[in-house]
Amino acid sequence: MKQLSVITLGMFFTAAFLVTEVHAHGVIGKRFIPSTLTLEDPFPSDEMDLFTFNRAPKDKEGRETSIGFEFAKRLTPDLALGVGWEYIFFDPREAGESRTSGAGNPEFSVKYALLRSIAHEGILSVGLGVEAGGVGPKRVAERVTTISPAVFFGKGFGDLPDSVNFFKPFSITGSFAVNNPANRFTGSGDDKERNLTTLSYGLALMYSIPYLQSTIKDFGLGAPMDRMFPVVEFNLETPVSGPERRRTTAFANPGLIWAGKYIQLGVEAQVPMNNVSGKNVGVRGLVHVFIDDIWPNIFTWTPWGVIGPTSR
Amino acid sequence: MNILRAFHSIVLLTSLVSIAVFPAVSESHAFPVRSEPRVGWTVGTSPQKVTIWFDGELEPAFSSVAVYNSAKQQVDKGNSRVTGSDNSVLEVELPALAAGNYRVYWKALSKDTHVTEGDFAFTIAAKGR
Repeated sequence: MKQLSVITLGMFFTAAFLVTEVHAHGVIGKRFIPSTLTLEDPFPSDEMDLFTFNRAPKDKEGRETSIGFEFAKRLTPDLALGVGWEYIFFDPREAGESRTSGAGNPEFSVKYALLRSIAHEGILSVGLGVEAGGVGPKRVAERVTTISPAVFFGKGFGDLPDSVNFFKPFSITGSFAVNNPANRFTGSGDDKERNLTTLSYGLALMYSIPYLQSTIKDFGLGAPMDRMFPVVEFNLETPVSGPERRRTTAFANPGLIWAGKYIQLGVEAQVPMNNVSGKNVGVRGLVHVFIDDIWPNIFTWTPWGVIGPTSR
Repeated sequence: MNILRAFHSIVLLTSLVSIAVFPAVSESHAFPVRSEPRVGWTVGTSPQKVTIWFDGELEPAFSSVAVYNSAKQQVDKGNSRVTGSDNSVLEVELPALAAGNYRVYWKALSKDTHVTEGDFAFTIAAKGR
């Protein structure tokens, strides 16, 4: 059985590695889809969120602000591993409680692209995320480990008929994840806490100015507009167990992404869509780096060889 | 640590890393910057060639451009090539073309091994050069 597993694993990597055409981060056919700020994108990539900033809207417990980073590295053209971490500041709503801060739990992920359709600018991926519970202090971090299998997709509208040419620069990405706590309860006595299974899901709709100018019509837009992607993301989370079952939190996140050759910048507002989601508008920011473009000699390397035509 | 101090630290760190990183930049994806004829435009006479300028160096052996008419027949001279002092220009020559709609298909392999591709249309409004 063990031998079979080794052979299967070996064949998997060999088969995956025989793909000779490189699929760059966020590129499917003639479509480039930059990393979204709120939702996980469907592309396994070599990339780094050098700096993320998130000031969430106030909710019933208070207001959370976080800064963090994320790093992802492909092992094959279709398989990537990632790790992310945040430093969290929490401002409680109750008078008398003091502000607190600390490093959150690390999050690990694996993502695999199951299907790609260059003609239809489509991609379907699956992934698994693990938040290692109890690593961060309990004042800011969950004590329970959460395991989240997920499905991601992306689709460009480039295959629409020519009669609706100006809709072709639109693309949509989405994700659906089930967040399963490893333990139903953590703590004991008054400190006992029920851990909820939740569904998180969302869609991101964006319009690509680069696609418009390079494929539909060159309007002569110069920098910085020529690399701009107006975007709106919708993210929702619904508990499927516990007393707050079916109390969905929902946010609309309109914003702008600018994607250069090596770096991507983004900013979004976080607008609560119902009372459960909080009050006020939050803000989210991202500095994202395409590390395989910056250090191609390092980040196209894998233990199984170099990803791409240079391996031929 | 208050939020402002942490924010400043991160911005500083980000800046330092960026400064450290960017001198090492040499290659990247290649995306088109502009073209002649321009994407989606109508020209009065048949152009002598189609030229696409990219934002990065191309690998000549794996980069190409071709022009098709509305009957999906290839109409260029078949001499697609990478040119320019930094190998960032892709071009193909054209014979004298009749008025009509044409589509340009290009594929580019950048030096960092990433493939990009695309297509665009242009129209010739009147015959002759």
